[in-house]
Amino acid sequence: MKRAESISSLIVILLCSIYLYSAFSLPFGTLKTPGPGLLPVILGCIGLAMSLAWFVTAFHKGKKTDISSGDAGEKGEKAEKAGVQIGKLFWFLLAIILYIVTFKFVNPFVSALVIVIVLSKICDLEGWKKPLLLGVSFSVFIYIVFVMWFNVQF
Amino acid sequence: MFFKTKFVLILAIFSLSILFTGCSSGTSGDAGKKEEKIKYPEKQVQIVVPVPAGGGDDTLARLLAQHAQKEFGQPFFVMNRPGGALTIGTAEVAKSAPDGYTLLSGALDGVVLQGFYQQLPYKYTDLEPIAVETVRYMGLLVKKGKFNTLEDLVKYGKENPGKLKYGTVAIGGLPHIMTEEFLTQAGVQAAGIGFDGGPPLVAAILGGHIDFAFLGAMNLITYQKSGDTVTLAMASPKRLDSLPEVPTFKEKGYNIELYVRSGVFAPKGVPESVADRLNEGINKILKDPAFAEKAKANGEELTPMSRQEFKELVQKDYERMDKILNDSPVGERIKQMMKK
Amino acid sequence: MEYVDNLIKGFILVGAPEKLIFCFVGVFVGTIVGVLPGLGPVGAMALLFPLSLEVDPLSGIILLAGIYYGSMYGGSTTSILINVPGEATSMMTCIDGYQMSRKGRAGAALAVSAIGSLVAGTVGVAVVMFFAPWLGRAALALGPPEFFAITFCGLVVLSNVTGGSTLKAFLGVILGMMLSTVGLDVLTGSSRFTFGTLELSKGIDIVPIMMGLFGMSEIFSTVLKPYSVKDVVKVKFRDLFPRLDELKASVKPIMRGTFLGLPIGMLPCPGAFLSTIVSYKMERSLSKNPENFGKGAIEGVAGPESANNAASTTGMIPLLSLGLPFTASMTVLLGAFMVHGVNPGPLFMKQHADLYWGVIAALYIGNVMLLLLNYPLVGVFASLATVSPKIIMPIVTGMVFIGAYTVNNSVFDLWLTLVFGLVGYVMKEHLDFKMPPLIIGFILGGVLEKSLRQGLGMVDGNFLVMLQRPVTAVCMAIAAIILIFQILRFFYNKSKVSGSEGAAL
Repeated sequence: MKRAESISSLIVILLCSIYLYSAFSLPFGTLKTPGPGLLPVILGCIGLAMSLAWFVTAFHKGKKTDISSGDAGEKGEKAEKAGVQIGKLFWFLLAIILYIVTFKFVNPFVSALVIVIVLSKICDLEGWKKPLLLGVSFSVFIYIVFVMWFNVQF
Repeated sequence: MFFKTKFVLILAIFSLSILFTGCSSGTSGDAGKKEEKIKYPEKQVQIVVPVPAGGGDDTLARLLAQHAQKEFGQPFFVMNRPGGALTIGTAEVAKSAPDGYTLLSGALDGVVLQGFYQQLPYKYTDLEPIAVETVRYMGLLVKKGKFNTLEDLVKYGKENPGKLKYGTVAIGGLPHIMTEEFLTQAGVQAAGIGFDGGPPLVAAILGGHIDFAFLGAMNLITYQKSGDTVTLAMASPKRLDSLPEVPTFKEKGYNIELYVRSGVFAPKGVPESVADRLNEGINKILKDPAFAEKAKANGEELTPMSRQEFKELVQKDYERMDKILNDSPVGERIKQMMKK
Repeated sequence: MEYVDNLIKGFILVGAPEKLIFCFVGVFVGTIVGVLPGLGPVGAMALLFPLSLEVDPLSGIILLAGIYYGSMYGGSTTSILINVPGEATSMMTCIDGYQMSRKGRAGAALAVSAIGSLVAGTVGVAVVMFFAPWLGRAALALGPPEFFAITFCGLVVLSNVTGGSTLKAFLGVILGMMLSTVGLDVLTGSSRFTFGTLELSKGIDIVPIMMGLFGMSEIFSTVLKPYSVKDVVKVKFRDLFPRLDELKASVKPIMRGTFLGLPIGMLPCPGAFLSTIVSYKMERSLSKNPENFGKGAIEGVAGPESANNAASTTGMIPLLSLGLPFTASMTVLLGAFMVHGVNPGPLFMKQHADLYWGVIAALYIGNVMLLLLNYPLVGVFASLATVSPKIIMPIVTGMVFIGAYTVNNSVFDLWLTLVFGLVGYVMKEHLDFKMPPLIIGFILGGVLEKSLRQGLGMVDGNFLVMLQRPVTAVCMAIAAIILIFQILRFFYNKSKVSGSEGAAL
């Protein structure tokens, strides 16, 4: 999976560059009166240098393992299993995203109930009784602790 | 399941303890917006405080909320929205619905002053002044030992330009402006160092890391009584009852008046009747001895005012800040420091 | 000895039934708050503030103080059970605690952390009792230059605390520091990296980041590779509590952790957080089997938890001896004091002796109550670890997000949690990037920058003058040595690798 490292290091390089670019627009100040740009510029430079170093090492390591990679069959099998699970992860993420988006608009207990039920179905919890029980007890718990006790505003 | 029964048991214990200690309730405000003019408030009111929990203004707001509950009959709830030198919380209130259910309680700085430094999503006219809470006077504090009077400090400063170091909470804030004002009037050059809160500033003074700073009355009293520090002068109209031996800047010939005023604001456009009712209720609370006693302990001086007076005050403050920041060398210096 | 006299008076005051009840309620609420991810002691203290106003000063303070250190005990629970650190200080407990939980040793981890917390807390209170005034004043001598040196040294020495590639650890620290600069600059008020949004102007809160990085990433891993309950070692009742050898192995780490936490907690920096990391590093360096760390070594739980509690307790010293609150929780406590008309300045001990000694006595009692409360619950919590992931994961996800919301009442934080959850997942599974360095960089970065700028202001930009102060010089020297050492080692390794590559080809 060294390719993942190369990609990520490139992303980090990009982030550091953006950061450094923004940091340059901040007043640097002098040593006597250091300004808000002082540390960000330093950090940006170091970060950029290090992420470049990371990219280089990852690239090298990637080249090495590619040469000595195992048989394709094994890899294919693993990919298949991973494919199934990635689907689950996708639904999981989608559920969470929808939850966050509707968070402010829906009554928090309703949304808590729904999200717990949805997530437990995604995680293959059998039947409907258990998810329902789980959802309800979770909502009640949230209500008692956060709203009644701590008076948190939703 | 073992797990489930234990869970229910624990749940039962929770509920019992709630009933026992009679925790402050407050059912969650789930009602829609019913705007009836005279009948206010109908549901719980939210007070936004633009400082983190525990700071001076926060304590005051919580006290107010507690008393307001009794006065208005509906729960008043404090929410902290710190950050951005008071602007984040202020912006949130400025943008919220002007129905009287979202209020701001904080120092005037956020409304009046910050607009000069940065692009803000609101103008000072976007907030309707409702009622003044307190005024907090500040004075110049030094560690005991080196300087005994204001003259000592000024003399040292004149003889050693740039050697004196002062600290301030938040560069660009009101205390900072006043410090620079003082330095200008005294003809002294000193370097300013920013701190992110009262306690680190006090610690720096006590540790001898900086020479002087402007601090609020509470801090002045505490450390003067313990003998750690000396307050060289107070920036108030007359001497404080709690610090009778400390001269005012006026007496010494300087034209400095530094006070931090905290007040309650609502978004512009709030119905007049609601605003008047709030003003009347808050002023009543301020005059209530139970409230006054607790608030005074914070070193605050309560100053109930009418809405018109408050409005004029805000306008006057704005103009004063405008003049200082745009028309005087002090303002130039401050803006320079902010840029740097 | 007048100490004993005063202490006995304090105990008598607190011994009144109603005070004990408030103490109990305080620590109980504190434990719950600590267990619930997200809502921290500050939030809870602020929310229960009005209640403390209705009663007399001593009861009110006991209540709030109870919440404060009760949450220290509770915070480790979620770290161990579901890899979600409720607060930054529980982060190090996650690392080995969660691994122990996977191996069926959750009970042992929880129990040891409770015991360590009791020991550390009690010793801490004793230190407060005897030495508060002097220690408070001694700490004043440290100013911004010292804080800068200490944090810098800390960053260099501790970035590699969890092992793995040094380059990635340092990079993590740098990235964390970069994150901490987002928002309004504290000292000049200018906006940094906010890209014009109001949300980012607030800065990024540590809690959503941690919950996402540790908690959600673990959940995502589990979704992709669910562990079946059979895999988790079948837990017998006996296994819910620590074995004798585990207890014996924890004794020294608890001692060391306590003595580490005591001094660090007093400094105006994130003392409790720093002490957990230092403790972990120390335990790892001193251990005979360092390779166990990260896989479930009990020393990795005992040490940091004790350090955490010790530091939290001594964190009260600046407040009690000088009236200066250096952390957010202390600020709320200060507010409570002031509203009751008590001014905790240097004269606090003399002017309100009964309140002071009452608080001290309550701290002792509270610690004991917490152990009595937590130890039996260890069994309950440990059995939670054996619940099937299909049930645990939805609930934990819900808790994490709701908890993240309660910190700041902002939906933006929820997005942060999600994003960092994904980031954490990628870091863990594919990049071999460790997470603690990021958090360390984030928290220490803020202090570092502040102290640097304040320090430079103090010496008119003359960095060398800063080095003339003894503490600063020592810390910077240590940091410099270690830094040079690391860099040399990096190049040495690289040359070795390229050398062997050349030979192989």
